[in-house]
Amino acid sequence: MPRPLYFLLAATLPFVFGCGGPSNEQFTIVVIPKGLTHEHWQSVHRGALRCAADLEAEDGTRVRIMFDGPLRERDAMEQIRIVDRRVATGASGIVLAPQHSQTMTACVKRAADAGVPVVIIDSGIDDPNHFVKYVATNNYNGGCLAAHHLIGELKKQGKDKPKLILFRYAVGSQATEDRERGFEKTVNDICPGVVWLSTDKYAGATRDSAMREAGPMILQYGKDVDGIFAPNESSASGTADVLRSQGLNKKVVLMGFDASKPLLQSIQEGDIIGSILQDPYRMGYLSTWYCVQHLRGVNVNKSRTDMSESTGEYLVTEKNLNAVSTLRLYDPATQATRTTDELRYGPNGKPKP
Amino acid sequence: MSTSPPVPHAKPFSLPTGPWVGFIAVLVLFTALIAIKGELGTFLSLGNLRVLLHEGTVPAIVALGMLLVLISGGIDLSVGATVALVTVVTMRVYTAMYAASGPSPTNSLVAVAAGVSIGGVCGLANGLLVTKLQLPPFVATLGMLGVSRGVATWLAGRTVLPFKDGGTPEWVNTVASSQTEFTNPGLWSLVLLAILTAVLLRLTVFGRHLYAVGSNEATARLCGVNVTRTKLLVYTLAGLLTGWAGVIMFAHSNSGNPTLGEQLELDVITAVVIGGASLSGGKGTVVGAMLGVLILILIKNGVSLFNVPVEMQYILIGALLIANVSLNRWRQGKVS
Repeated sequence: MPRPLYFLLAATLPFVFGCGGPSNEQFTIVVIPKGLTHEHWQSVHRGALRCAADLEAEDGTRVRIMFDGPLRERDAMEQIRIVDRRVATGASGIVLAPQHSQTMTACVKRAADAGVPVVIIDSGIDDPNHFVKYVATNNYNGGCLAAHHLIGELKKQGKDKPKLILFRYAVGSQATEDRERGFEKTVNDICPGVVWLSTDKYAGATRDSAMREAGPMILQYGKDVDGIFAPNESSASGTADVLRSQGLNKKVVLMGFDASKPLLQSIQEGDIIGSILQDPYRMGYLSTWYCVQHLRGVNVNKSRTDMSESTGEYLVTEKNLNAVSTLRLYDPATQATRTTDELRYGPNGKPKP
Repeated sequence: MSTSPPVPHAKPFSLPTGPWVGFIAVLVLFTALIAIKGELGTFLSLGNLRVLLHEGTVPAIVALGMLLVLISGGIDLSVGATVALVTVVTMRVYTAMYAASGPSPTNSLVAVAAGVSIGGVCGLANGLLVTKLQLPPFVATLGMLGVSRGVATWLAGRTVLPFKDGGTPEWVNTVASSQTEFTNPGLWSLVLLAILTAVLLRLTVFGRHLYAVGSNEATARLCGVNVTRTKLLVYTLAGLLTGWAGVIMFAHSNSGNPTLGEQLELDVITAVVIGGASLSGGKGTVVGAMLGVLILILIKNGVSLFNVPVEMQYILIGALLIANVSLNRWRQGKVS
């Protein structure tokens, strides 16, 4: 036997027998976002950390937050790998924003079977039986809100029969599909004269891919189109870039969803008429809270009759861009001033009966 | 080596030392770093070993194919896209048959066969481009990368294809779960294929021809080796191996997904080169390639588990690749 083989054997011994000591934390909660690049997930992370800090301040419960996601938002395999890896290496609970409502079901079931509770955030999952709680924006409502604002603005410009583009995000992403449905339905209800120029283009996962798709689309419809709805941050930013580059910004009314610094800047400058903001900070907080409560034995879903909780959706325009009610959604300093009761129990700040 | 007659690797049975050094260095580095954080119990645990083996299965099977191609002096950049295409084809065939005849084991068999064959077809196409059109392998397979990725996206209708609710066959769940990794058919298929590849390389005439063609193609031809046939065969074999890896990826990802396997080709080439193969051909062993994959997976795993910034993994892998190849060069220089 060659000598290197002995080294290898020696090196693998600890693998085989393990040598785990007790860790000094009570719970390790792994927060797994869809990707790492959107600011949305940074807020989720801060919310989870805040929850851990609150819990420790209250009664000394030590909760360790691990933030681990795929670098790229469409790296579906990596997200599955991360869930399995974390289940195998001793996570107490998992907070997961699934990239796909159907393909992620198998690994959520595997986690549940291994006794690791999963709280789903941000975007839904098709298998209702293996997660503990679903904490997300009511995306359908968000789409409705966007429709009301966009149609309202167009009516102010005297356009009663506007020509619209619905620039979709991706097939299988439940959150954005809900927004698109809410938007389409509300527009058809409140504005029967609407003309849909395009509803079958997909922006894809990044600002780059959105620009690639939006470029030809705007070239084709740029002269006619009155308003565009882009259902997430990257698609809205990408579309704004394309409108600017073709000199159509401020002429075409663009409604977005979610926020990032460039997107808010565009709202300030009037290139984007408004956006629907979620409350990712509270999403991160509440999901971690439910995960810990579940681990402590609290019945957080009323024996599976109360599975989902909405964290609210908020219209942001040029007018309320710098209001505290907006800043608390994304600005780290303002987020830190939010009260524990509000984060746990909503704007009323009281536990539900 | 390049001036000698086209015999196989001078000492085909000696273990490559470079990859062992790399493997032990990475293991020691991570063990030390993680021990400082007091979490050795998580890193060096049975659970994590299972996960490591599980995550390594797909790249390792692809690496076997890549090893063959690299030994023959070629390169295959299309493997990542081929894996994606295989998952999409497998899912399309499976769902079509499921819709036609309901759940039955034949669905899976036909779907898997279709997946592996499409991998073989891609490999054969690579081989034909390289031998009949005389294209440099880099260009031929770069072209196939685009074609496969495009066809996969088109076949999938620009989306991810999931199983119908509850329609997931049991074998997919078995292969996808790392909790019983030591009896996972995916892992055992890798072990079997690795042994077969090693036997092919060391004990068969084809294996000898492969090293000969990779070391010096002109000399090999003069000695009567059918270079065209050898190359066609090696790309097809690599394609079939990639096809099988695609089927396992299909199970792991629980879907047919045209975006899977992005940069897999670069990962696998890195692994095989860390394992001692050379881009100029004629060198490489199965053990080395498997170690290369293990090193790569170990780095990804260690970085992910311990909240090291994820960009570190790219830097580490890059640095390791350069260090390893330089070490080999230096050692060769000392010998000659």
